[in-house]
Amino acid sequence: MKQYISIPCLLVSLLLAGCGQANTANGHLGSIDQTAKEMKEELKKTREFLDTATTQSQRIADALVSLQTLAQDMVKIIQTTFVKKPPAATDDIDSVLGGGADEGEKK
Amino acid sequence: MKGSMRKSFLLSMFLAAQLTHGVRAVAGETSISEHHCAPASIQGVHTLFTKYNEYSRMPGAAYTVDLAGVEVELIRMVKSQAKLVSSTGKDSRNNVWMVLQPALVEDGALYPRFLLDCGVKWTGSNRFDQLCTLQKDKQHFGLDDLKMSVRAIQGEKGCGANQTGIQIDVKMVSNPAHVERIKTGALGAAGVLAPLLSVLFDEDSFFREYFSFIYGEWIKTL
Repeated sequence: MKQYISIPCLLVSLLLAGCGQANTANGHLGSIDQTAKEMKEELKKTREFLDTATTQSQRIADALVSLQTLAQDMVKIIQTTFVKKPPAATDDIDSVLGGGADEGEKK
Repeated sequence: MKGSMRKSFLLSMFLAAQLTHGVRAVAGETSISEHHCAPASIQGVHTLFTKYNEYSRMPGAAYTVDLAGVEVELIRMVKSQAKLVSSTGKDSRNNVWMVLQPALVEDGALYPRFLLDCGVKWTGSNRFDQLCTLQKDKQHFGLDDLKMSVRAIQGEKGCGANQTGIQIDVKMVSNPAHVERIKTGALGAAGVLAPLLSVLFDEDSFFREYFSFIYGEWIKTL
């Protein structure tokens, strides 16, 4: 038995097939577009993170410099404060032997 | 500086008490108990411990600590004078006057000082005992009591054949009011370092560390 496909029917079939492929392509384009948006968002976040990290690193570097300066200042203060001085005059053993227990308190 | 003790800043402050010897502090009274085996004859040890007039010029007279890489002198013996009271054979008895200058304290009235009665008694040809006690009826500041006991035995069991065993026991009672005045005198000149100095001049460790340090430095010279 012979089967016949009419011309209109063939045209309709081709049209339907074309529509299906177009829909599929549309779906792919939508997916790519979504991925691109997500990547863009991630890039934005990464850029923000890097900006923040750079700022923090700079702050840490600044703090280290400040600490170094502080340490140097502290050393100078210690050196200045603990300057050796000659001892003050104190009693000799002869006067101590001749004195009492409270002599030192009265000085 | 010769004889100085290097320590790291703050964390190891006053840990000199770890000199392999027991150090104990009980409410006002502090004691040191140390034993050394010194590579010296009994005569050498005797000479070292009875050079009363030389104490302030011997290693250990100045006690230093390391503050942020800066060697700082905390206290120094600035005077040591002796007067012989009596001697019988090799035994002797002396009055010994000691004055210590704490860092930053300019007022001589605040210098720790005390007169000791130091007796040395030979108990054999290879051994002697030395006992120094603070004379409470004479001028003293910083300490209310001090007993420094040394027992030296050449060839002591536990030490080498050519060594002398030296047992050192020191008991001292600091005067809290005096120590507070010393601290106040020092802190006034310390400026921004006052909190740090307050730790350094801790009453419990102030004299204990110094005496422990002195003996350690002396024995190193033997």
